[in-house]
Parts: sequence; C-alpha cells; structure tokens
Amino acid sequence: MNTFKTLLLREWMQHHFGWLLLGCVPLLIMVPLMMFGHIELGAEVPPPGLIALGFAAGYSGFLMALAGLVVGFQTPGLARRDQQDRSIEFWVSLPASHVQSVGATVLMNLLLMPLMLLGLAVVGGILAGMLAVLRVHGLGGWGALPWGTLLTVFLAGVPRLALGLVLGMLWLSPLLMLAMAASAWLKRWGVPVLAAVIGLGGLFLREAYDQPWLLDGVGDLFTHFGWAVVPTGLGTLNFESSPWPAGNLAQFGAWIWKDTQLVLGDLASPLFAVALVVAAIGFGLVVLRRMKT
Amino acid sequence: MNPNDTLIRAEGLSLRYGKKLALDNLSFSIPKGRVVGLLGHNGAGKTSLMKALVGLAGHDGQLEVLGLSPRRERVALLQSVTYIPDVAILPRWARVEQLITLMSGLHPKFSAERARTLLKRTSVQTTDKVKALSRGMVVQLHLALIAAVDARLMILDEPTLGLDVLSRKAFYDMLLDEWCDGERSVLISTHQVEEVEALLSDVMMLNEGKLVLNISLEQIDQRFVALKHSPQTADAIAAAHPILRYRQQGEAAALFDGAPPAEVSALGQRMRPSLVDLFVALTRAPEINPQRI
Repeated sequence: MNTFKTLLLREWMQHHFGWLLLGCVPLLIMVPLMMFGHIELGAEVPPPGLIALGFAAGYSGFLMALAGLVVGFQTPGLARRDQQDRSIEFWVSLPASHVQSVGATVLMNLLLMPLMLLGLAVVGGILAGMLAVLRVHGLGGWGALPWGTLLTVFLAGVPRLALGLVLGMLWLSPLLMLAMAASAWLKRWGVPVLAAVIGLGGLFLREAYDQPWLLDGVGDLFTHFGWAVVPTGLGTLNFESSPWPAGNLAQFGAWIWKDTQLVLGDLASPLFAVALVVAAIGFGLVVLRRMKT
Repeated sequence: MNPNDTLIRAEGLSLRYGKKLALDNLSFSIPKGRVVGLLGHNGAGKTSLMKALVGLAGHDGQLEVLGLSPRRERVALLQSVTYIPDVAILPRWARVEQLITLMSGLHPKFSAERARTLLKRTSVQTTDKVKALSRGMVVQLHLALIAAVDARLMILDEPTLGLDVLSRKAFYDMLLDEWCDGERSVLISTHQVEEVEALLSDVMMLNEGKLVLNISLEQIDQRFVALKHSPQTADAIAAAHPILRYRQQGEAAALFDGAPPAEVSALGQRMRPSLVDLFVALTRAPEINPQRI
C-alpha cells in the first residue's frame, strides 16, 4: 500500500502545478471580473439565493467542463509520458509492479485530480455567488440570503457532484482507457486510429450491416456520463416545471437524494458491465505495453 | 561454493526479439563479492542480458537472480537488486529531494539519510531540479540514489556513457568506496574497458549473443599469454597461431590462448595481456574466432 501511495505522490509531484494552475487561474480572473465587471440580469432581478446559486453553478460548471477537456486531451498522452521524457527505464527499475504504476497514474489523473479541481470549483463557485449577490443586491443581499437552504444545497449538492464525477469517469472509462492503450501501442497514431475505428467502423457497421450497436453504444456512454455528472434524474428533470427556478430550494435535498438513487441504480445495466470490461481490457493493454518497455 | 553465495545462475539462457537471437544459450554464474565486467560490441546482447536479469525481458532457459525468477518475481527481486539502465535518465521534472522521497516510499531498503550523505560527496544539491543538472551530475545522483539501497547486487548498463573523464572517475570512486564491501556484487557493462579493468574481479565477454569468455582476472593471466617480440620473429610467432597479433608501444605482440610451445615463448618477452587486446581478439571477427568460454 505504501508503494501505491508513493506512486500517487509521484503523480501529484509531477502534475499538481498544472492542475492547480487550471483551478486557480480562472479564479484569479473571475474575482476582479465579478468585482469590477458589468453584471446584466435583465429587468426582473432574481432573489439573492438564486443569484448565488446560479453564479456558483455557472462558475463550477465552467471549471469542470474545462477539467473535462483537459482530461480528454491529456489521458492518451499519459500512456507514453514516461517514454517521452525517457524516464521509463528509471521507473521500471524500481520495485513497483506495472499494474500499480499504471493504476496510480489512472487513479490520480482521471479521478483524484479532477476531484481536487471540483473542490476548487466549489470554492470558486461560492465566491462567485457571494460576489454576484454583493454586486446586485449590495451588502444587504447577504443578509437576505436563505442560508439554511443554501447550506442544504451545499451539503446535498457537493457530495452528489463528487459522486457524479466518479460515476461519470466510470462511464467514460472504456473510451479513456482505450485511448490510453491506443496511444501506448500506436504512439501518435493511437487516438486517430481509435477515432477512425469507432467512427468509421461504427458507420460501416450501421450502414452496411444495419448494426448500429457500436455508435449507439458510444453515444449511450456519453448519455449516461451526462446523467451521472449533472443531476437531472436521468434526464427526467424538466427545468420549466422543476421547483428550482421558482426558488423553492427546500426540495433540493430530497430531489438530490432521489437523483442519487437513480444514478446508482443506472449502474445495474449490461452497458455498464460491458463498459467496465472494455476499460479493464484497455488497462491491461497499457500494462502489457509497459511490461514490454 | 555455497549455493547461497551464488547471486546469479543462468543455464541455457536465450532471448529473442522476433527472429533475432539476442542471447544464445548462455550459462554462467556470479558469486557474491565480485565486480564483473560485461564487455561486448554494440548489439552483442549486453543490455538484453541485463534486462533479463532484472525481469524486464522475457527469456528461455533457466535464470535465477538471488534465487528468484526475474520475470515472475520482478518486484521482490528489485528490492535487493539495483539497476542503472543504459539511458541513465532520471525524471527531469523532479527535484532531488522529491526523488529521495519517492525512493523512500518505493524501495524498502532505501536509506534517505545515506543518499543525502552520498550526495554531499557530489556537487548535486537536494534542492536542484534534475533538468538543471549536467549529464554527469545526473549519473552521480542516480548512483547516489541506488547506492543508498541496501541491495546485494548492482547492475550497471553503460553508466558512464557520455561522461567526461573526471565524472567517470568520480562515479567509479563512489561505486567502489561506498558500495562494494566484499559481500555485494556488481555487474557492469561498458565500452571503456581500460578504465574499468582495474576495478574488475571477473570479466564476461559477449559476442553476437554468445558468451565467448567468462573468467576471473587472475585466470586471464594464467590462461592467456601475450608475447612481445621482434619483427624478425614474426613469422615464427604467426606460425604458432596466436589469437591476435597487434602492436604495443611500437613493438609487435601476439596473444595466445594457452601457453605457446616453449620454443615460441623463447622468441619473445612474456607480458600481461590487457583486457582490450583480449576483447579485440575474441570479438573482432566471429568467422575467424571460434567461440570459446
């Protein structure tokens, strides 16, 4: 276990600067913008609670979308990172198994770092919300905030977002691990080849043999990913009729609980089992490539 | 010899890369307390052998290192065997202190205190980043790190490649002073045969994947005979089939495997054969040099 923790520490040492930069630079841009920029909310100014929540959700969502892009672009390269900086021979000369080494890279970069960024996104979101209330309603706006309700939203929402991040990564894990494996074996051609196999292969299967399962399966992975990371009750939440925009945030906790049950129940599906198997195969291929270093 | 004294035992060891036979049926053993030089031309199989010894390359035949199977028990083996691969490249993003921290977590027999003590002998500071160090300093750092591991066997693959003479001397000084204690063994491959000759207790020579010599330096003096002779006796010397005819300090010399006939010995002055001459004799042209051990 000490070995694995040390391998995680190695990932932190190597990549924390980039992740902290990703988490902090938007914050440093957002604060002066919120303090000195122009905030336009239309003729009907929403109540302080909704402003706080709206800006908090907007900032957090923006940062996590940014994190998603970074994970998407960075993941394939992780498979060849140590070969590219020529340190692979050093790492494989140490008494750590290949499975542990690849596992630590995957866990830290695909899960723990994004979770850390979620923490920064939440902190930045709270700050954005408070600054927005201050700018729109003045200092009195803070006094008018429904603090109890906001606390409920925070206590229910943040764990749900963290859970959603974990589940979302699991839903996308087959694509991410296949991208890593393709990159490990085919180097710079890995991702284009994978994209061509899935895209063109999927089209060919659908058009020539009326077998749309590949494209549909990939599309479904993204759909389930979306349901996991954004609490919409597996897509059943109708924002027009939902209690949230109307300001009835007291129901938020109950809604999140129901949504959490739904996304957890969503895991009991053949698609998720297939996704995990494919991800495990991708992981195995990355390990195998490392063994052949 | 006590079986526990044998650190490496190979029987019929072969290794292939596709159709190319990198190691061809090697059989040898290395006891404790030896400094063994592994010599061979580029592509002779030195790196392949070292990779097989630390479990980084699959092989046929029997191979035991410290009584363990390198391929199957790589992690356990690397707790007692340290290895500097031919590309002695440490991760460039790391600071020296970070590497010490990582080694402490990854290597159960690593002493951070000893590493810091060893580093005081060099110009490397613990606050330095690897990418700011010269190649010589990186190799010194690498040696300090692995010399701080309480291992039984050190495997060094061209550790001083590309270093200037001062850096090479500093490297070997540290190796001998701080690591070799009569119980531990070192297997070192290098092209700088003259420089390591004084360090070695044994020598192994590989030629095109075959072990053409495996002998202690004392036995070299007994088995091989070098004769310095005048040009007038050259024909008579050549008729005795030396394995190498060469010039030393301007004078003709011949190298014999085994003592030449007494009348031939009388034609020249016996001298100690150098490793370089032996290396040239045994590896220069396989078609005219029958394989020998």
